[in-house]
Amino acid sequence: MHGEAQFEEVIREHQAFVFRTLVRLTGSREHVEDLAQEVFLRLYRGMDSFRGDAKLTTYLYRITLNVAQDEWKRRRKEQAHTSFDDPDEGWGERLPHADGDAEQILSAKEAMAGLERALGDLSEAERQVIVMFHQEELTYEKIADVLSLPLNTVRTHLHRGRKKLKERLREGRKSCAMAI
Amino acid sequence: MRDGDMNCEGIQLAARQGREPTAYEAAHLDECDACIDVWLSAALDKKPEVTIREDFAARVALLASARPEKPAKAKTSRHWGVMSAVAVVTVMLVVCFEGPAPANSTANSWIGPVFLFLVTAEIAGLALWLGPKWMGR
Repeated sequence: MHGEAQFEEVIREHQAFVFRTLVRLTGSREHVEDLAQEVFLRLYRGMDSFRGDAKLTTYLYRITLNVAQDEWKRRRKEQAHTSFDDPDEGWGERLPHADGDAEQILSAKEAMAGLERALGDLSEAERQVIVMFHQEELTYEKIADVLSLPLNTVRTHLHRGRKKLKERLREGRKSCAMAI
Repeated sequence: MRDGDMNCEGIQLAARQGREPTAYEAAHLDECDACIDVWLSAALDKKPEVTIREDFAARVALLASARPEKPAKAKTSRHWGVMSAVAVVTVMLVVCFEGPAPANSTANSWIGPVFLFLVTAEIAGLALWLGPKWMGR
């Protein structure tokens, strides 16, 4: 049986990854701490069956993706019921602190907000693959292992996801320009 | 590469260094595939900043260890399933290879044995597949 101190160490080691991934996959910082807590509680319940560290991290990745997916679905349902809410609310808070003048900051905000919105339009698998590949720098092999997908499917999701992102970003800019 | 007054290398370098595009550069990204590709990679590679409370790990570890473990599922004894599967396979094998040939069968008819063999193999396969589950392993 794992001890409390040992588990605390595991949490400290992986909490940054879990928070980052949840933020990016769910598109908001709202409830992210609760979600991260859920991830680690699920991990704790399943920890006895893991011996090697590699398997533990793979399991943690899977749990994180599942929790993010559940949250995503819950939000989608909520959003469908509250159509008067601003769908972009919450995205702005995730922007990095940019240095520079107001125009530069605004441009950075717009660019990042556009990217985050575009990420939200991707399929679940595409979003997961893109976040794991780019943000967490996982290899194709590791992503395939975590998502239980063939290697070529991972490559396809990444390629399609990036293509869609580029298209969405361009469409977003064009519609902004037309509105102005 | 240059696009009018726009310097692609400059934009790509800025993207790699983490500088966001100006409105003018952003307009160029719509037209230039190489630049948007680099910008996209740089933006996606950027890890979102997160704030984690200092006591998060301790609090969750305490909560996890304080939670009562889920009671282990009582393992019901279902050995009868495996036993019956083994018995059926044995009987089928005996019938297949040792039993008397039907009166109307021809000496070189292979359809009966093959059919029996297939049924036996399927039951054996099911026993192998479901057996460990039934045994609770």
